[in-house]
Amino acid sequence: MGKEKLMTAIIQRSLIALLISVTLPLLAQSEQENLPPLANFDESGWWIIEDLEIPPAIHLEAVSMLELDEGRVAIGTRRGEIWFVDGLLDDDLAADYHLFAQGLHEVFGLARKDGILYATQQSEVTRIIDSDGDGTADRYETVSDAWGFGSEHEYTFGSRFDPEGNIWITLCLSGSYTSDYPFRGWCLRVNADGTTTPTCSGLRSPGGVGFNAQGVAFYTENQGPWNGACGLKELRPGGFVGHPISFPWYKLAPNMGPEPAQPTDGEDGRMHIDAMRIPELIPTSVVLPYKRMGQSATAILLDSSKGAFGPFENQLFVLDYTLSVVMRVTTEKVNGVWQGACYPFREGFSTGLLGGLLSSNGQLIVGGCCRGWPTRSREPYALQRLRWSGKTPLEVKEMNARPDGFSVTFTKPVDAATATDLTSYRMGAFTHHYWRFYGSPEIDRTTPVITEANLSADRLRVDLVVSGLEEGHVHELYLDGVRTVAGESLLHPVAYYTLNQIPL
Amino acid sequence: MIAAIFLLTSFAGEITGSDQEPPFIGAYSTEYRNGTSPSISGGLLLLGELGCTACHSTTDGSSRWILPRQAPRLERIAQRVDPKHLHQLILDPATTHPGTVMPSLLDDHPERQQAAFDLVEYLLSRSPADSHWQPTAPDQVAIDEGERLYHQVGCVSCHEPLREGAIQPLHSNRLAGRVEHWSQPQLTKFLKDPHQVRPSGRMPSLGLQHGEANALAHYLLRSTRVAAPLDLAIDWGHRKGLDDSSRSRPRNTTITGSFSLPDQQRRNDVTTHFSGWLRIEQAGDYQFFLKVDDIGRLRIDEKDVIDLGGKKNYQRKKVMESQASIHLESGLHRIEVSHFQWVDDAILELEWLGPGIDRGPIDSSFLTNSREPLPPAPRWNRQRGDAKRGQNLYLQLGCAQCHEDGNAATVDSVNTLEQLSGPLPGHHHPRYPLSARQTADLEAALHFLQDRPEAPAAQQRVDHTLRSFRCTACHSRGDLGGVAQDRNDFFTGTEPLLGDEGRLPPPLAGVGDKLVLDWLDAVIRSGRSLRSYFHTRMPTFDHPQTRSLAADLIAVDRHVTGVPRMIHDDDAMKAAGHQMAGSNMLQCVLCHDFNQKHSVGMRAMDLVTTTERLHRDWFHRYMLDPESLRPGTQMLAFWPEGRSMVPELLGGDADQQVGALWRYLEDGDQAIFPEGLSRQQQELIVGGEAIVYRGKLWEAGFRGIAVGLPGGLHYAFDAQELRLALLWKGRFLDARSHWSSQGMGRIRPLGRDVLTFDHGPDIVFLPDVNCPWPGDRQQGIRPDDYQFHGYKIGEKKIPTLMYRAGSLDIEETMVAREAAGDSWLDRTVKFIRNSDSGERGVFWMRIRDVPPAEILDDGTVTYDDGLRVRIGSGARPSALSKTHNGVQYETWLAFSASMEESHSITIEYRWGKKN
Repeated sequence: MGKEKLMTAIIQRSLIALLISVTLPLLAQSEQENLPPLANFDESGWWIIEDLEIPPAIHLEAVSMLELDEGRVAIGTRRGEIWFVDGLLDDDLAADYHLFAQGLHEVFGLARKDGILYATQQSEVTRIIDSDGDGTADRYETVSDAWGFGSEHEYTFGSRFDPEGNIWITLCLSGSYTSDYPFRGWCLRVNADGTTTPTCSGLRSPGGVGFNAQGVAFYTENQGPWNGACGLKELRPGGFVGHPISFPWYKLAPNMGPEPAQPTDGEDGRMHIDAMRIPELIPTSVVLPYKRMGQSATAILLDSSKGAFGPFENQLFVLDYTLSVVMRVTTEKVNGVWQGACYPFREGFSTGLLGGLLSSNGQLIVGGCCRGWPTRSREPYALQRLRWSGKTPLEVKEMNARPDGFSVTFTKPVDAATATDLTSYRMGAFTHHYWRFYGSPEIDRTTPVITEANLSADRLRVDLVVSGLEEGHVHELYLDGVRTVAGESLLHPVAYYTLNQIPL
Repeated sequence: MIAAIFLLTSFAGEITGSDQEPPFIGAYSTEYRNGTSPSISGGLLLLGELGCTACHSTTDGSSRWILPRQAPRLERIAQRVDPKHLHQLILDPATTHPGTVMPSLLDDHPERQQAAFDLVEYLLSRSPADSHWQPTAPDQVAIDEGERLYHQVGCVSCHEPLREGAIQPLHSNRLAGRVEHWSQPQLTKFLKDPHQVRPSGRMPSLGLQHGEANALAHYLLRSTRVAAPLDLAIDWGHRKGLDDSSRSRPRNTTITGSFSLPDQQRRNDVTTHFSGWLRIEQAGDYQFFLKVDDIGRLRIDEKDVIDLGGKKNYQRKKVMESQASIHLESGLHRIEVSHFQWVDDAILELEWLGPGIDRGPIDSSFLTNSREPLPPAPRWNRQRGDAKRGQNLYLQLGCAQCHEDGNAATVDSVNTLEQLSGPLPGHHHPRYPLSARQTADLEAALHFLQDRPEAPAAQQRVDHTLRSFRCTACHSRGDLGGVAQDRNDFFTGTEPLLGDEGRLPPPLAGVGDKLVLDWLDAVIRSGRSLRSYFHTRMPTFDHPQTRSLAADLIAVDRHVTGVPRMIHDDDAMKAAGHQMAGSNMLQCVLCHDFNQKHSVGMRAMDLVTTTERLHRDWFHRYMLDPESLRPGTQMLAFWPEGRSMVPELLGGDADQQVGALWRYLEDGDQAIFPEGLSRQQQELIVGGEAIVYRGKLWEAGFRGIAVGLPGGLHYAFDAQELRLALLWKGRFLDARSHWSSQGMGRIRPLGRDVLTFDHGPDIVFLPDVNCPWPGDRQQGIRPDDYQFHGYKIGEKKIPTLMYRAGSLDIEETMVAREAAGDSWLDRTVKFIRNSDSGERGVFWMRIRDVPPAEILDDGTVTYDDGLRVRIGSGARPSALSKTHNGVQYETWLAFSASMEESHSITIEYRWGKKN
């Protein structure tokens, strides 16, 4: 009887896993009914969401965006169009739409070099030229299609150009589980001249690819096999980012050297421990704790607006499809490994966010659609703008690792009494399984102890001395008690730091 | 003339004081019934509608004034109608069907009853006995749909509303009491094509689909009651437990004899509900046994007795059984059994066991679908009449005159219409319960005809035809007709923003000035309509009496006006028209659909047939002042006072601008779409410009490129394998599966005559014929130095595909051609050497890997599936027989590797007959 019950449970679990794999592979998890309630942050007064008008004739599932010249924005859509839109970055909500290109296969990446537009579509990277200058594309030139494409869910995302003239493309696994065609589950670099270089193996179901302020490429990965939670992962040439099913294609990539060793798998699998043994394995740079920091991370946007968007210059903003939120991420390189922290930023968008742009004048434009996978929002598609009100809330501007703990920089000076009071803070640490199964609970929980809180003279930074730091664990820091002199508490009194390395 | 009056008075005199309704004729009732002086046109209408000329012959002169209505054909009347009712009708038409135009013929017959029996028997004998009338159990699902249709598609333009409590408009051709005796299948057939039975077309065809006619028939026969053991209701759609009906919808209801699943129910996601009354003769404990797959439930007296998964948690794909015992008093008990079939096996078995009853299925004698027993239906006794006598009567009484398409012999001793005089005819003459008004009007008409009038003018023919066919019930034309105030609310549409223009049939004033002959004729005779936003349908009036209506309307209405000469060249005009129609100028497409693509606004009439429909000068006048030709239209005046709203175009000249719009619209469905149409649509419709669609395609692969060409011929190229993959005709494709949900699936051609081609690159280099083929043609892997390079967009947005095949660069363009009623594709392939590798050998271009059916003298290669390929530019096909993985007989073209720098050929692809 007991045995039979166990068998039933196992069968049910694998059935559920199968169902999820068949129906909802892009998402880390599908439980629409179990989405967490909206967090209780009053975000509305600081960064303001505006609905941008879309002409009724246009079904604008905006999934990629690029700022062109003079305030013009290029928008790539799931329906394979590229729109040139004027007036998105100015004050009013209306804009002029002009159809530049069409007939493409889901434009999940736009880039520009020497004045020419490049689109990453599912089947290839394409150079799109308006040779007669009439404002509409008339040449679609294949730059590279040097990878296999033959199963459902083999999505392709593309970055902008890096300084070497490469677009970084991330290739989802076949059906998000296997690697049935060359380079599924890989990152490739496609040069404008067509040269295509295998760059990383081990991807599962990417959601977007971009660069941080130092020009390092990262992509967003979704919870699933070999990924306990969603996360921001570094794409280092030669690296392996975690999912070993894409190893067969090392035979087509001599530049990548031999196939890496297999990860440990099973109950004992831990990514930071395997990373010591497998040199190619790049641990997740910033883990996005599941549900608290989204459920399906998508585009990565860098704030290079020189303060026009607020105090987070040079930080990253990551969109989430399921919860329709924008999150904030900071990165730093410690002992040669990228790591960093993530912070809640803004929720309340009206469609599943897939693509966006943080413009040079500090406008965050987001777009996407609600179809195929559940979302908390309901608009079939939408285009929205997030604008800084000019007022700065008290926020953790950045959390950084120190040899003996962490430093926390605030957006404005804090009150010395609360900031140095140890009871203003709480800390926990956890990690995930690194295994072939779908996702992972938060495991190996510990409670590091904050023993000192030392405030800087300008009252903008507090250095926390922590005993019990756990390398390879996410450290969640709650700052409920910290106040400004005026008594203002933090808008989001929480930060999650992925401590891959403790600084030497 | 005096004689005529005498005769008529004698007709009418018989009914003085009678409460029988006079014959109802819609147009007469609305226009003449309350007239104060005798009306010749009213009388002429009656002469036609009452069928006077079926017996009374007329001179040619008179016949031009009369549009005779023919009585229903009776060959299969026995299949259509309950004989009991037929008997009543023959005995006393005016009482049985108040307002009928059928006269009474048996009033003076010495044995009326017997004569009626004989006539019925004769009519029954004209159909095989096994096909005679039978009642059909009503289908509640169809009834609901029928009720909607009846009040929406136009039935209530002439007939009365039948919803309970509906206010009765005046002048209805009443159906209540006149339709309930029909057979359901025959009524469906009749509604689909009324002209088969009623050839004079007064009851027009509304172009109903079978399902619509079936629903209407069920609705009209909704009061039918058929006794049976059980009622049965079937729903389609998935359920999570029997109580969840959020995804299921009713399919149909009927009757059945037992708790067994209908045979045809071998579909998934079907719910079957049985309901009825269980007759318990002996009170006691009864035990029920239920066995189901997938789920089911037994309820007695509205309480669950056995519930196998009726609630949310049910086992799938598993047989379940259970039993329960309950005490039942004697009497009738409500019994309901529900079953949901999810997948695989469908099982429903119900047994019982009780006092004096062995275990087994419930015998139908214990079940009834009606709590009150239905009175036994009286059976028609066929012994009472004699067919032979009936046939004689049928001829003697003159029934044949009206009911046999005018094939009956002329009745002797009946005078021509103009010469009605002398004594009454010796046989029993027909009696019409005419009103005094009708009598007076008939007198006036006869008087008029006796004066041998000239043939009616076009105007008179038009009015007479519009009245006789009741066009005037829906359309106004000047003072004539129009939707009556008390029926106005029944005219509805799908586009409320269009106001009355979106629901009320258009007025016919000036219609002959507006529409060209062919279009107008098609509207009248085949119900052609562009106003898809109307719920009311334009009926079909294809009858000899309507054949000259279009020409007559044009003769009466048309007044040609000049159209200014166009001073710009054709291309400039077309371009200006295209620009004006778009979203930045006049914005025609803000309100109007265009070539099946939706407008973003109110979805007014599709513009693509404008020049096919309208007289050009009318269009010109209409554009400059819409209100003058269509009072009350929402159409804006874009050239108020002759001043253009787009002064920057064509010098702001209104005449030139209207001319430009016309010129642009002349391209019809090949016109380039204006800017600003809705892009929400998922079917991609090809207009005057090609459409390129890249995505996961059936046969052409994930790197497929589908190209829809102006001209309605399309192809798909496989950019992975570098080959032509598909050709097809007609509709291009539907992007729905990629544009909804996750975007899964491979899209197939939406059109017809799909031709497929083989895997592997079309162009290969072979050092010699015996070399292996480059790449893997079965796996579709292309050779190393093969690469797709993209495409460039040319005229009409037609793409030229570019790729590399070894040391050749290829550019190819597919264009649709049309001539002499045939259409085909020209594939022009240009070969450019990209290196001088000193290769020795030959390039081959494949046409197909399958054996050709034939190679004709002119070089045309034909295939069994109908494909015909001809190579132009002097190239000859070389049939190359080669075995590769069992595939033989391939037709390839050969080129010498030492050819000049570039070389081009054109290959024609045509569709021929399939073998």
